[in-house]
Order: sequence, then structure tokens, then C-alpha cells
Amino acid sequence: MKLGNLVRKFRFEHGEMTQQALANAVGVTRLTIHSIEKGKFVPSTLLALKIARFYGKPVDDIFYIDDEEDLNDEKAE
Amino acid sequence: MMKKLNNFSGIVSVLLLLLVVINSLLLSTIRSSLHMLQPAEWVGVLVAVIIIAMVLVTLFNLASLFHQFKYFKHENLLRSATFVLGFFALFLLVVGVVMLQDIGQELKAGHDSSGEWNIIFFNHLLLSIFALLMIVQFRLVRKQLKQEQEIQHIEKDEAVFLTVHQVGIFAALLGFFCMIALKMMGVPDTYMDDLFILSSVVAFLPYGLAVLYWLYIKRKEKLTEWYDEKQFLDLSRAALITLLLSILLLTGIFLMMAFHVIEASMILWFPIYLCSTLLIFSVSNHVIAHE
Repeated sequence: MKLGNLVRKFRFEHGEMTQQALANAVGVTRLTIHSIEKGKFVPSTLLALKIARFYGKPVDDIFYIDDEEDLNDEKAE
Repeated sequence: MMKKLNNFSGIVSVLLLLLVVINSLLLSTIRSSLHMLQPAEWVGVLVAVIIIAMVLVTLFNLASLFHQFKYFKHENLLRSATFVLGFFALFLLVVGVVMLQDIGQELKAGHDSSGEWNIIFFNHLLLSIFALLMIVQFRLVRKQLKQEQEIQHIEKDEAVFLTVHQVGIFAALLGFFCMIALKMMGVPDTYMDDLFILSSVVAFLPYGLAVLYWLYIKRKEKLTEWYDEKQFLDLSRAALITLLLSILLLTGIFLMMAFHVIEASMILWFPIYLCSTLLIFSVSNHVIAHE
């Protein structure tokens, strides 16, 4: 099971803000935002809440469980 | 400020390259004339002046690189490599001065001084590579300054964090290089242990400086704020990889020494341990951070 997210989409909808600008807003490094967007790093609850609060959205509007990943795994088996 | 510093650094790097070429020619002249007659005194004085100038230029270039670490918000592998190489070249320059003094005494005693000359010329080769890398760095910085008219504000720094690991990679590689080079140069066993330790300390100095600088910029932050959560996870993963790989590697070396597959002094353990753990930790951290 994988955690999906729409951080990149929200970033572009907010005036095409840079990864660095979002990183500054939530107090992490640019590489952390980059890794979250790529799905390589699962943020803590606190960071997910900070990102959601920054965009003024509930957390589950930005972060979701990626069921397709499970389906792909089942197909592969 | 950065632009002026970079321009000056570019100019003195070209000067350094010229000084290295002139000094190499002068030293070659001295070397060939030593067997026949005493070289003219003015040649010796000129070599001394050039060496002082090379030390000053190298120090300035190292300070300029340090300033670039602070100024630019993105790490740069070439910059880190240049910093470590410059530091080592500076050390060898000082060693070269001692060697030049030794050569006179060796000659009087009728001993062969080719080993000393090799170290001196190797140092000049390193200095010329350093000067060339600084010229490349000058062009890159100029290009970067044109692109980044406004340096973006960064709340949580990642460049210094990554630079420390890059410097760690090159410092460890340099440590290994010194060990292999000393072994291959056939330095007498009586000097070997001291030279191994000394070269390892010198190889580690740039890393020590980078870590100290990182600690300096973190001094006002709470310990819990030193890393963001991904950096903390990256460090933990790198530490685990280092623990496992260093146990495997050092067990292998221990067994090879125990069964006399390789012959090495016991005092080598510490430099080998330092270099291997630093290399594994820095490489794994650098790779994981960019995932």
C-alpha cells in the first residue's frame, strides 16, 4: 500500500510556486518536498498537516491511499 | 561581493598555473645542475618567493571556495572535490619545502634524493590540477551568478548538509589514495606508520572543517531542528548501511591480515577504519538524499 499525494498539483495551482517556496513555508528542505512529490518519502503526520494547512485543505484532499499500486501488484502476481 | 571575489579568484588561479610552470622549470634546472655545480643563489631565492606566492594564492582560493559554500544554495560535487584537493596540495607544498631542505643534506651525504624530487613534482602536478579546477569553477560561478540574479531565500539549508557529505567522500578517497601511494612509492617501513597517520590527518582536515562550519551555522538552532525529518531518516539509513558494510569490510581485512594474505602494520587499522566508514557513510547519505 502506498501513500499518494497531490502536492505537485496544488503547488502549480498556487501560482506555480517553487518546491523551495513550499519547503520554506512548512520548514523542511527542498529535497524533502521533491521526495514527497515523487512518492519516495512518506511525510510525518505533522508535516502532512502543515502542508494541508498551508493550502487551506483537509489532509485527505492532498494525501490518499494509492489503491492502484495494490491492483498493479496483484496483476503482476 | 561574490562577483568581485570570483573574478579575483579566476585571475589568481591563472597566476597560480603560471607560477607552477615557472617553478617546475626552475626546480628542474636546480635538479640537473646539482650534480655538476652549485646553482646560482638567485634561483633559490626566486623559488622561495614563488613558493610563498603559491601558498598565498592557494589559501586565497580555499577561502574563496569556502565563501562559495556559504553563498550558493545548491551543492556542487566539483567544488567539494576542488576544496579537498586544494587542501591536500597546500599540505604537500609545505612538505615540499621540507624536502627541498633535505635534498641539500642528502646530496652532501651522497644519498639518492629522487624520492624527494618525485614528491615535489607530484605536488606541482596537484597544484596545477587545482588551478585548472579553480579556473573551471570561476567560469561555472560566473554563469551561475548571471542565472541567479536574485538568490532565493532558503529557510532550511540542505546545501551545506550535502556538501559535508561530498567533502567526506573526497576526503576518504584521498585517505585511501595516500595509503596506496605511500605503499607503492616504497617509503622505508620506519617512516611508513608516521606518514600513514600524518596523511590521513591531512586528508581528514577538510572534512573536519566542513563539519565544524556546519556545526557553526547550526549553533543557534535546537538539536531537534538540526535536520528535517527526511534528513534524519536519510542519516539513520546511511548509519545502518555503514554499520553493516564496515563490519563486513573490516572483518575481511582482519581475516586477510590474520592469515597473512596481506601484510600491513597494526597501526594502519585506525586510518583504514576512518576512511572506510567515512566513505560508506558519506556515499550512502549522498545517494539516499537524492532519492
